[in-house]
Amino acid sequence: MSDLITKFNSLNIKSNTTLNDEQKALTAQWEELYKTNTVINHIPELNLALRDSVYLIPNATEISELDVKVAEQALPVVKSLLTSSKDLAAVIGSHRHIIRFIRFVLSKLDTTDDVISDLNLNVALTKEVIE
Amino acid sequence: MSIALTINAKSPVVKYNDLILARFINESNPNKIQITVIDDKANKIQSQLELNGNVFSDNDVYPQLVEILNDAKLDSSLYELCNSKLTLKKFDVLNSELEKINSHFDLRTYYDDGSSFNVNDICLWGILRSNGLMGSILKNKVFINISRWYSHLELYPVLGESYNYIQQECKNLKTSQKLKDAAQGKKKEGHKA
Repeated sequence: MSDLITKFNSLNIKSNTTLNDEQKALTAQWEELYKTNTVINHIPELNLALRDSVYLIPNATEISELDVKVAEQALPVVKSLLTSSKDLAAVIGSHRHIIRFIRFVLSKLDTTDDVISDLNLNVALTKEVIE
Repeated sequence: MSIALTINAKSPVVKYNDLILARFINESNPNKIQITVIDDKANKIQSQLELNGNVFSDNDVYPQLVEILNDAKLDSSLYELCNSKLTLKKFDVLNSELEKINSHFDLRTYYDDGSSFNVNDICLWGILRSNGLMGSILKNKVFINISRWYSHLELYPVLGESYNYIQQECKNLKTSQKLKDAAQGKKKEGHKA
C-alpha cells in the first residue's frame, strides 16, 4: 500500500453519503483506471473532471480513498511535466485543475511534495473559457 | 456571555456572511449566538450584533463574529472588497473583480489554500449570495473556478440552506404576527379602492 493511502486510512475518514447512480458510475470508471494503472493515460480527462468539482466524485463534501488513489497515480506525471517544461505557465495552465486537486489532497493528508507544494500560486494563467 | 445577531431580510444587501458565520459558530457551540431575522424595509440596518452590552452594525458585525470564532484571520483587503465592489449591481465593476478572484482560485481550492473552508470563504460566499447579478454568472460558468468553489460550498448546509433559513424565519414572523392580530381581535385589512 502506498504512503498516501496508508496516511488516508490512518485518518479514518468516513463518508456518510450514499452515492447516486452518476456518482457510482464515475467512481467505477476511475477505480478501473486506477486498478489497471492507466490514470496516466487520461490526464486531460482528469483535468476536465476536476474543473467543475473539488473532489473526483461530484458533489462530495469529503475526501475519499478514490481521490487519494487517483492523485497518487497522477502525481509523478504532473511532476515530470512541471520539471521538464520551459513554458511553466502553459503547463500549469493546461493542468491547473489536477495540480490544484493534488495540492488539496496532499494538504488534506497533511503532507507535502517538493514540486507541487512549492508552486507559485499567483502565477498568471490565461483565463479558461467554456466553448 | 450574551450575544444576539439580527439580520434584516429586506435590506438591499442581505448579510448572508454574518448569518452563515453565526450559524457556523452555533454548530459547534449550540445557541451561543441568538439569531433573529427581521423583515423590515423601513429599518435601515443590514445586520446588528449585541455583544456584552456593545452594539455593532452592518460592516462592523462580521469582524466581531470572526473574533468570537477565533479560528482564522479575516483578510482585510478581501473584506473591504466584499463590502464595496462585490455588493454593487454593476456588471462591469463586478466582472473585473470576479476576474481576479477567479484567477485566485486557479490553484487554490479554498480562499486561503487550506484543507477546509474558513471565515474568508464564508465572507466571500455570503456576499456573492446576496448579489442578485451572481445567479446567471454562476450558472453560466463565466468564471469556472468561482462556479466550482461556490457550488462546492453550497453543499454544506450551513451555507447552502442560508437562503431557506431566512425565508422560513420570515414566514414564521408573518404567522406569529397574524396570530397576535387575531388574538387582539384585529380584522384582516380588506381591499382598498
